[in-house]
Amino acid sequence: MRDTIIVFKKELKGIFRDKRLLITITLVPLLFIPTLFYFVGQTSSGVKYEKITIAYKESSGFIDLLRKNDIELLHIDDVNLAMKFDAWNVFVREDDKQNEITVYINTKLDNFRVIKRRIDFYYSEYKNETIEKNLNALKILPSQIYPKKIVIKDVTVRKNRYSIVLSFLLPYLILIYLFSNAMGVGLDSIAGEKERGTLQLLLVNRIKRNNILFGKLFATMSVSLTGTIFSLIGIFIAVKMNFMNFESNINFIMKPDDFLFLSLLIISLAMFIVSILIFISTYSRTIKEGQGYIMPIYLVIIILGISSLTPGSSIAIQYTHWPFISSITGMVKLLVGEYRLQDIFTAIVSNIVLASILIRLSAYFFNKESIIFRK
Amino acid sequence: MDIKYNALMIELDNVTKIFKQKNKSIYACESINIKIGERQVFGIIGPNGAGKTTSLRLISTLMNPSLGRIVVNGFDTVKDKMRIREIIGFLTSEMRLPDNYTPRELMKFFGKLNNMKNSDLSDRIEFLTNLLSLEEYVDVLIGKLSTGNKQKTLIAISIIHNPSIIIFDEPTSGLDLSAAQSVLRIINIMKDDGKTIILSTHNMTIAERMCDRIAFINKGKIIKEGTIEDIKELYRSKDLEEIYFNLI
Repeated sequence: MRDTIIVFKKELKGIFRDKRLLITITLVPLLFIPTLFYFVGQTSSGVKYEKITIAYKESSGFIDLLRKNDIELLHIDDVNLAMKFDAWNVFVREDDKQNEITVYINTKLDNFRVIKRRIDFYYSEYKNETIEKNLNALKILPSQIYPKKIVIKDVTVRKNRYSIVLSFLLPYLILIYLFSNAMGVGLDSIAGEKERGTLQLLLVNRIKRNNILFGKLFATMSVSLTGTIFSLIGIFIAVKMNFMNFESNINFIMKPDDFLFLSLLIISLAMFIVSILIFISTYSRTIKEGQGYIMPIYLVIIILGISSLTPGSSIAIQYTHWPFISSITGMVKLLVGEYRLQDIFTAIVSNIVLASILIRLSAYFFNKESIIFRK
Repeated sequence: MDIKYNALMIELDNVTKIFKQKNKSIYACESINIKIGERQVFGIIGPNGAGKTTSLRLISTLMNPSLGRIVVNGFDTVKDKMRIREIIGFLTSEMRLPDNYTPRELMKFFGKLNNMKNSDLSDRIEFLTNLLSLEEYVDVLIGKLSTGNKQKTLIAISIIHNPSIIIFDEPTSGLDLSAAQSVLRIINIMKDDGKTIILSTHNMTIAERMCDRIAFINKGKIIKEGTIEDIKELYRSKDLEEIYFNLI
């Protein structure tokens, strides 16, 4: 333990003396994340309030409904001119004989999906209104035609929808931050020493291989967690300042127990991630070689993260006990406030067990001449 | 430090080191027999790729012999690695120090790893700083030091725990004349201090100037071993380089 602390302190001193690294893990997330949220917020609010102009030839019930909903309408007599889409997004043509409304839309437009969704929404409203009107004319009550409506009422106290969106996004971001912050330092910790030839200097001293590895593991974990904490502060600032232009405030108050479990889960995940990096660093001759091994793993983690952060996704349900997925789903549940202690405990223990196995393997590599002196 | 008195400090008994490479066996060292006495400066002389570095890694416990046995101060290099590591200082020309530490910080780090007490460590740092003329640079980041001062720092680190055996692999490699001279001066001081020193070099002048005994190594085999005087007398030549080339 004493030797582990000596290595840890030395590593930490060297790491935090690197001004570039220090700026990258502290100042950059504090400035970059709020800026990113601000621009995303600006872009999304632009999409939300996009103006739609609809051209039409014959006035009809559907056009009347659009008019009621403050859609800008443009009457055009010439069909050929209407199809040119100069100052309008959609051209609507109603054919009473065919009982059809044809909506012409230019799919080359960037926002055509948004426009199509809005047209669908108004059409559904128009359809319901028309059916109701016709039923009234026939003196039939809608309840005589339609089966009973189903109303689902949630009895749990939920956070607002923006908080829930963020609860799903945050674990994924935490995973990415933990990995990316530790990548450079983790690979340099052993592969870098091999490249510089200083590993021999360390190995020839009376220190156990495990102590070297644990010292480096804890130092790299410190960098990973520091960077992640600053990134989370960056997100917190962006959310508090409402840079995303959310319509309501996000409430992220956690119970002390939930916060403790979340912290333990993040620390265990950092340990697992860093042990992967240390393992690869031990095997690699150079940092460059290590980067070659780590990039595919990083991509897999990104894909797993994206797949499992979608609420109710099949990956999150089927592979819930897999490494990384168990941590992401655990974090999501903790943030939403609906979790089983057993799942969180399993995720924490599995992270620690996997990290220990990787450290054991790294120590084994440390004693293998064919790995340490590989040319 | 518990060092048994033993006139024979290091013994390589029929040592062979084989590396496996794509189903091929490469003999880095083959049937090496060397005996090094206490307080001796022993030179391993040979060109690049002759097996010098592998021999030194074997003695310093970084590698295990494939065949044979190495005993350092009565301890087996395979079974008693930790005991041997306490009494050796190892330095190779491949080593490069990390830029973001000062010589003092690195000396402290390696001293602590070797269980040195804080007061002893401070005295030792001061002693080595003076010995190596590093007073001005001891608190300067390594990245800002000259090649010569970096090499002096490496020497200081490798001998911070005052080891009784010092293993230097090509210690003057890549140094300018003045830096090389000061490194050799330090080795001489350590020799006078009674250390057992193993020096690998391909430079015959250094070998002649520093070593009590030498071994010529080529293609992993010791081709001649003895005192410089004996070797010169045996081959009736004053030029070690000439003798070496006649032997290979």
